[in-house]
Amino acid sequence: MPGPALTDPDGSWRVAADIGGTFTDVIALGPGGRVVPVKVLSTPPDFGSGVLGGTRAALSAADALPHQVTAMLHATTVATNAILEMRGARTALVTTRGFRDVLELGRLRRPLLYDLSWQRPVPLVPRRHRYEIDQRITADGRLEPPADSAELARVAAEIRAEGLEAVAVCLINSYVRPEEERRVAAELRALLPGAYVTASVDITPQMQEYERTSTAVVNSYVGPQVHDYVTALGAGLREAGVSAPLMIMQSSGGLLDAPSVVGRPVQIIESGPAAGVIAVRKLSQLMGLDSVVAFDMGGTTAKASLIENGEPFVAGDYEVGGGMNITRGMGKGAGYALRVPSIDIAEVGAGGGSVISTDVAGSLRVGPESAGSRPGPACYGNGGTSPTLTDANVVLGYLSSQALAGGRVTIEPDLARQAIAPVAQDLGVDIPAAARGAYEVAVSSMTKAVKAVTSERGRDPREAVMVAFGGAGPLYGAAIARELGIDTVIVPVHTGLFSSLGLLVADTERQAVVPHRADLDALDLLGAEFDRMAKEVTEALREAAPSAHTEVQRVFDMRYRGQRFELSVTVPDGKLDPGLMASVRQRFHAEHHRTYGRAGTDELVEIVNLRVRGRVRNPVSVERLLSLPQSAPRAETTRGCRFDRTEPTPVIPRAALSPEPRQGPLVIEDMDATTLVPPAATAHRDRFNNIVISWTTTVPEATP
Amino acid sequence: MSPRPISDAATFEVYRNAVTGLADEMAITILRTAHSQIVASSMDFSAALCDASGRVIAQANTCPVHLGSIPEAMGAVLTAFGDSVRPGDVYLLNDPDLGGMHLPDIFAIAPVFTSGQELLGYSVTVVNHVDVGGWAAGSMAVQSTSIFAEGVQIPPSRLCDAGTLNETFLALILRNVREPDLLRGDLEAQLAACHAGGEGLKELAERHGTDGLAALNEELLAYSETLLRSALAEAPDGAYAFEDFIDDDGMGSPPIPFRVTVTITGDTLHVDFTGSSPQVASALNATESFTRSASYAAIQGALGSDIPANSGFYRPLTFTIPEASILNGRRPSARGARGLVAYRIIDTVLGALAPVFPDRVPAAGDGGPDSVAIGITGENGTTNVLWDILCGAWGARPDRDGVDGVSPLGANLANVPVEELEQSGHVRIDGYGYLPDTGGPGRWRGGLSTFRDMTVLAPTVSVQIRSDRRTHLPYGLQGGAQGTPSSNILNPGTPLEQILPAKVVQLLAAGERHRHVTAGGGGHGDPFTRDPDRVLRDVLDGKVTASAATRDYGVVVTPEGAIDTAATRRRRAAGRH
Repeated sequence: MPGPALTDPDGSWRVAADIGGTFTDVIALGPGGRVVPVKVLSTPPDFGSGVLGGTRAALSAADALPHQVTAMLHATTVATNAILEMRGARTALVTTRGFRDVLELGRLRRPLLYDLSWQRPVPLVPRRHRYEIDQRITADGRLEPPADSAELARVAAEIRAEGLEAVAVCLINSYVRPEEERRVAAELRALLPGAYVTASVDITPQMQEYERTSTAVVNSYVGPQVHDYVTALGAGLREAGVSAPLMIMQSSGGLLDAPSVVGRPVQIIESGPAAGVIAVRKLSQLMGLDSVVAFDMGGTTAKASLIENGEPFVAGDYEVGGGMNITRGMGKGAGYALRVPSIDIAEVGAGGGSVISTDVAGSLRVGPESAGSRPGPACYGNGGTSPTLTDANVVLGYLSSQALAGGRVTIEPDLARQAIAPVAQDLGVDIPAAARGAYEVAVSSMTKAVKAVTSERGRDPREAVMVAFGGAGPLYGAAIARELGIDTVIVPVHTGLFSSLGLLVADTERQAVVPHRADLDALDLLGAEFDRMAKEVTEALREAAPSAHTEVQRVFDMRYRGQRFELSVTVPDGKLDPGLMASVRQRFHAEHHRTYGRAGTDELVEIVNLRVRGRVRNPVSVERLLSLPQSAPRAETTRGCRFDRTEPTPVIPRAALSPEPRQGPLVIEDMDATTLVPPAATAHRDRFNNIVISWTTTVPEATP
Repeated sequence: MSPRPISDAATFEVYRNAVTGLADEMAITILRTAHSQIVASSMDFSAALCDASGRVIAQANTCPVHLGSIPEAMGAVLTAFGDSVRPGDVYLLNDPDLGGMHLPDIFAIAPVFTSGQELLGYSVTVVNHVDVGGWAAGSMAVQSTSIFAEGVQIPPSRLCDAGTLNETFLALILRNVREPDLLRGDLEAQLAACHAGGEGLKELAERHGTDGLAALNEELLAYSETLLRSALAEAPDGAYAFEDFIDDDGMGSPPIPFRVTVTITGDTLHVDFTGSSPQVASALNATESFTRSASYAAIQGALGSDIPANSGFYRPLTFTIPEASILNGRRPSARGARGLVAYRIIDTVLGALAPVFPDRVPAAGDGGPDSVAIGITGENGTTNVLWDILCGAWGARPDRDGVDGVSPLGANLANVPVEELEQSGHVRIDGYGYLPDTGGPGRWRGGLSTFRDMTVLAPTVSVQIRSDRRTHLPYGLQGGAQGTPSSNILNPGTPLEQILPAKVVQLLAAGERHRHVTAGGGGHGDPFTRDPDRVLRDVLDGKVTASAATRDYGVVVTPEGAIDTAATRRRRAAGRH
């Protein structure tokens, strides 16, 4: 099948669509770097119609014709929503006799220590639909006994009788002998035409039965919906005259053709957040930045990730459906475990809608409750009365009454003040002081997310540059950077749409992983396995992008013997010989030392997984997207903004900022976001039209 | 209402966020760098930060029963080294009579100084090491009768002296344990965590100043104290007594009583264990610190989870703990299996608090994680230890069922993956899951028992099991029935079937099969008032059998899997009363 064109012919357009909770953003990129953004209301549950409507609207606004679209790029929440709303397929699990409860037991831990009302997330397959079969793969790979076809036929009959639409197969020790599990899956597929069948080893061929089972179950649970969604959207696009292939963003940060996604939908769970990180990745490569913190804040959550030398960190394990990200690190057990490559993003429940509260002992809290988009912050005038961060930002003078969603949402400052008043009363301070307090608390909680991806990994945030984006990111970026000693904060153009921009510039990617086995001990065998994997991903990518060149990257997941957590080490190009391996081990020791402050000896190093990433580069440079959006010239105004004290603060459009640094305080208003430059910082506009905030002055913030 | 302790709410919350995040960062460091299965997979370790006078400021999301014992360990270190603490020092201890809990739990504590040599506080870590020597692999055998049989005893000691590691001291420890590489690796993980905590605390001091940090710590302690006092003030005054038991000491003793009277007066709470058992002959003896620690966990669970756990939380709480009792063993009594005591203390204290907080306190759960340690001695004389920890059920809650298969309140342990156990080549796991009809019936059902079946592949292994709740079952509340017993069965379903004691060290030969079953949780409320749809769901899921549904819940389920409404109405009207 055809893939995205390598170079865009004249008059061609690329369209990106990113679904959010309230709005769907569609961006068309045309000749000469023309960027036409359109924001339409999302259309749950049929999100596809919003995408189609937005695409038509964008093309019409651009005066472009559907057949001129050469690439249709998409970040979708369809898989995530199926899980969060428990609306996935009715799914069966087929597993080894004695182990049907592995899925429900999980790892036994709970995310909060003292909460005796805790409930485990409802298993995606109820116990009655978990079928045990009399087969066993031993730890050394013998079949004692193999799965019996007659029994599989009986199980299939039960699954059919129950009317189940999807099946996940995960056998104990299948990672040692994947072909046995594939055989079981193939037989079930033949017996159950129309059912969506996943073999766990096809998604994650690694040890640990719970993580593998859970991943396979999630894949099957969301599979039919993703299939239907992608099929309907593809048909709708063709009907609308768009014949370009649909490409979807994976959690790992690469685009993949829709037909391939249908086979591994578990890989698109974090589609939207990954797109944002990729936008920052491309910007950091363009600007030649070594170390970049991507900071994205919207209405309900804030997300941070680290990009080093142009590459984001990829995590092998995460959880979905656990509410906000208390699932990171020590808090596992809140959601459903997934073992697929995903950009490592730390998330906290802080967004414009986060609710501000106090308690009997006089502490000030922000979140975790959120006013959501309905009724939303009190100042929206939709009947909300809970004080939120957005209300605080209005009280503080940071947000004007026309500042949100391009003026679509009108803000009523009196309602914001009324909402914050009880908080101020509880704390015994005036209303602006309470609002400023909430701002600072939010900053500290988001600082934790940035630390999780930097200092907790042995990376000094002071060596990084921050790129702040999302609707609320530029209001907080400078303050968070100050906390962490980050000197420079970049606020790119199209800030509120920046995630969607990532789709336009993302590469197409496929990954393969196999666990290290005893029979791979010889270097030539290891090299041959890498070659086989490279061929596999290259061929798969050729289907999606026939004429393109595939770059192949080889990675070992390594650890010291006995450890349960791995570090990824890139293997240099070249023949896998003792010299190359020595340099790989050297890299591992160095990375371990950097991350954890110590390193061990060569004898203790073991290889856990082999990974191969194939990548087809996107022909579009992010530079094309960075022209200043057209807007009517506006005069500079001034309003009072509260920092440690209230200061008269100039309010200007981005276009009014020059390459010459201007001293804060300053409020810079774009169509879709507001950037706050605190008093002691400076801001200028660089040649990419970024707002660049600098903390390089050593003057402390003014104190009252 | 109590006076508010906080001078600047925003600064306070900012600090609280930072310091709790730092404690978790320490824990993550241990998790990611540890070498043993019990630490890296089961997560049997804890981390915390203390202030300069040794008070706990912040805890990581780790094991509650460890965390409450930290003040005692800190006290022992300060007594031994308080005058001579230097930057770069690290102290070790595991001696239960000098600040420790039981020998496998080794504390590593590092002081933190500013660059100007001002003492800021301490990074504290405690890890349950896989083996610290003694007569039985794993060093936690119930049948130990003296601490001298349980392994290497480490009084508060200086492992690192101003940055220099005492190699002789470490070599002595390593020579006395079965898995020296693992102990060294896990200890290094502790040191890495101490380092991370220290660096973070220094940053916080740079930001707030040393005096500012001290003031914020006072506020943090006062904050927890205020929240706890305010919750206690709302609770009805009175004295609430409860009694529970450990079945036996593993060496033929009669049932071991735990008696508590919890007295709430105004905004204070007193816990009095008078009348509980004297210390026992086996290793089921706790320390006073551990008894307090378990009580803190129970009280915090009953009050809800919002109050930050730190030394301020402990202030409104006082204790009477008898000397030379099972709650406070006297040297040289053995302490290795004292974990079980903590879980029973939690059950007993929660039982006493049930009438005080009837909408929050659950029925009893499985009574503690059952531990199974498998020792395999190789031909070269080295011994491997495989740890398996089985957690069963939570008791039913006042408004919802107990959780089926989860770590108990006192701990937050993970299971060891079946595939990981099998990779050792020494055992095969034949099944791991729930058993039906094991959750105590109630309006809300208790959690189900978990079983694990294991076949021995190695020529011989020694299996050391610590379990309980075989004769004294998890209690129900408000008309809910009690849970079901735990069991150990050798070669189940064969002519060689043999019921093993709950607490046992047993040699098994290749081909022998062992089944362990954890206890089922107690029920809450009258089972005949349980929503029939919930009963039906349990029947369809095989968690309750149809006959038990009729017998225990008065709900008649047809063979087609539907509720027989008329029969159910009749059955329930006839009642069991």
